[in-house]
Amino acid sequence: MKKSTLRRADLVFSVSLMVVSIAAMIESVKLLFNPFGRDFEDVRGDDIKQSLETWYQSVGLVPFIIAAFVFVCALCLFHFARREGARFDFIKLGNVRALLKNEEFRVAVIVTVILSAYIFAFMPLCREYLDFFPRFQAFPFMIATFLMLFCMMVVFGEKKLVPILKYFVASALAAGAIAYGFGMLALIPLP
Amino acid sequence: MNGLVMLAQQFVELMDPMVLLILLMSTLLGVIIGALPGLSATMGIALLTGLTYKFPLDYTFAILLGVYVGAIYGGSMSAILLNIPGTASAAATALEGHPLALQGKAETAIKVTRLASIIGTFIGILALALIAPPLTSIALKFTSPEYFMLALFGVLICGSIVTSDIPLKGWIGGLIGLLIAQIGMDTLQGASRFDFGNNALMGGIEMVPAMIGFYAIPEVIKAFAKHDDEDMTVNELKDEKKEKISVIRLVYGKLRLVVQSALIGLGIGALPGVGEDVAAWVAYGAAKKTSKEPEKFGTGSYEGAIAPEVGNNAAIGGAMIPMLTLAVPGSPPAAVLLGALMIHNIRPGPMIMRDNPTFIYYVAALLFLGVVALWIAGMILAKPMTKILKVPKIYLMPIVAALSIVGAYAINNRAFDIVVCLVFGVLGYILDKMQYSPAPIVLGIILGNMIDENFRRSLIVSDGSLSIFVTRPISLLFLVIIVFVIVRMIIKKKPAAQAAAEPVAAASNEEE
Repeated sequence: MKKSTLRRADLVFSVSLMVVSIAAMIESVKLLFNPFGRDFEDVRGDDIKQSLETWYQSVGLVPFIIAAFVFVCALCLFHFARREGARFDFIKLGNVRALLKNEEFRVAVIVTVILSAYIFAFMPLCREYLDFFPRFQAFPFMIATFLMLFCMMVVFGEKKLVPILKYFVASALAAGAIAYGFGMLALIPLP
Repeated sequence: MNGLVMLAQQFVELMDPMVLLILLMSTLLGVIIGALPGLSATMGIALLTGLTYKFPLDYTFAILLGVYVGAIYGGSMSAILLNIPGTASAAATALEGHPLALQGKAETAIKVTRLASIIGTFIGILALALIAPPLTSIALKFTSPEYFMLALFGVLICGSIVTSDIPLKGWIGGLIGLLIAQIGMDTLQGASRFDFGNNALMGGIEMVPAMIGFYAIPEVIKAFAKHDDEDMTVNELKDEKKEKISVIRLVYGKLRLVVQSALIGLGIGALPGVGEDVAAWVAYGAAKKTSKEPEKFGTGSYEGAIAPEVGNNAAIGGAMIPMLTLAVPGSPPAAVLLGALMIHNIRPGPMIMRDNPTFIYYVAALLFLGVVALWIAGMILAKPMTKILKVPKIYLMPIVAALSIVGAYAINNRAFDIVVCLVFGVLGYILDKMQYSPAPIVLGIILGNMIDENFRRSLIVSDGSLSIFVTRPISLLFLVIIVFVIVRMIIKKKPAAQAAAEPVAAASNEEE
């Protein structure tokens, strides 16, 4: 990543960190007065008084301190990025287009989408509809894994018939080996 | 003397053919993991921690330690043959190893680095067996304020050393890890924090899925984003012109360098969270500074190949010392190992010699046998390695992704852990692009609970007075060191890893 781009990323990240740390500080203060998540109408004045007297026992104390330090560090990062020349002037349509066309960004999105599909679609659907073999319970996982492996290999590999056939065989073998090896031989619970 | 007897007893107990076979196989696997670019020791251990969860303990530790020892060495093979370091700790080895391969001395270079790795690991284990048990008796004096300061010291020093950009990023990483560790049930009062009404979050963020996510998923993305398969040339392993000098004599002739690099590796390995890669760079830098022939560095110097390999392997033993005695891991793989021990109900720390009096000797004996396994594995894999390195990433990385999911799920059988793995994977990738190292974040997640519990316990004991942290000598000492580290880093503004790597990188650029 170029230095200027890195500093712009630092600028955006510092703002995100500030937001997260403020939210964490607010949540920590809530924990000081109401550690067990009761409705706030049920929190009595005596409870608040006792919480203030024993502030050092609060479950929210350490998270508050950490969040405060995160906030300070985020401020320093923001200041540093600004000093190095980063500004919020990069949010333009052209830059967004360039980011979408960026090869690495595309790869990151595709890998995330395939893995999300594997976790949230392939696995639940295969478990729901393909649980055919009571003695081989790893079968739905095997099919889901095969789909994920094959998708990833086809998307990132060569788009010709022979390589695709190779990917098919490699995915099937790998999915079978993982499901049988871990699920049946090593008796590791599979998702 | 008593220690040596206990070590000998552990050797006898480990003479189970099945354990020895598993150790050899896992060391072979470790060498392959280390050699394959994109797969690292930490990732291998993190993946296998989940996958071996249900195995008997003896087998699990043999697998994890075998992979650790093997992978740290394995990185040097691809560094020499491909000029692509298999692990970050082998990056310095590539600077000398690959020019040696180009000169037709690949076989000798691999043998020299293998011997250097074995000597380095051996010295590290020796230090572990000799230093760790007496250190636990000192650590027994630790109470809550000291533990709090120690954990804080671990996160801060790791943050200030491993980052490749500004030190602030290392500290932010450590703080993010600490904040993540606060999610879930608190251990003192049983109150749930930051769960936002979600039952899964109430159980907290499991460290193994988070570690797998941070170390494995970003590597999958990075591997597909790089287009280096086409022009990847693997050098032939066989020497073109046979070296007259024997490898043992060559390494023995550099005894001063070996001892110097081993001490550097041990010292840096023992610093919380810093690890083998920094040890390798610093050992390489020191070798260049103290060499009689510094001009040969960068052109294929055996000294330059020996120093980082001794350094990074000695760091294994060094990293295990604070991990076993203080529960503060010395390197990222040791951090993952600490997580593995914890999920198997072994609590490293000062009490380990009371709760498991033989455990440190058991680990030392297993690592000693791992050295022997490394010797055999190195010989077995030397020839086929040129073929193994040609396995295309298009087959390898999707399998790594699938194994990550299996490993993340295997610990608790919770679907939520798979989501944690994916979310932390994506977060790890974004942070990696912004030059945040995952090591302080992971260390923060591991030590977060220790910090929270001991800080509040100290305040409860002192009735809310912060003076407890400055009136106890060990606690005060840690506080002074923490302040010193922070002030020094602010003034210097250049992390140690970057500083160690810069002159070397400059030298290699000049070569190009």
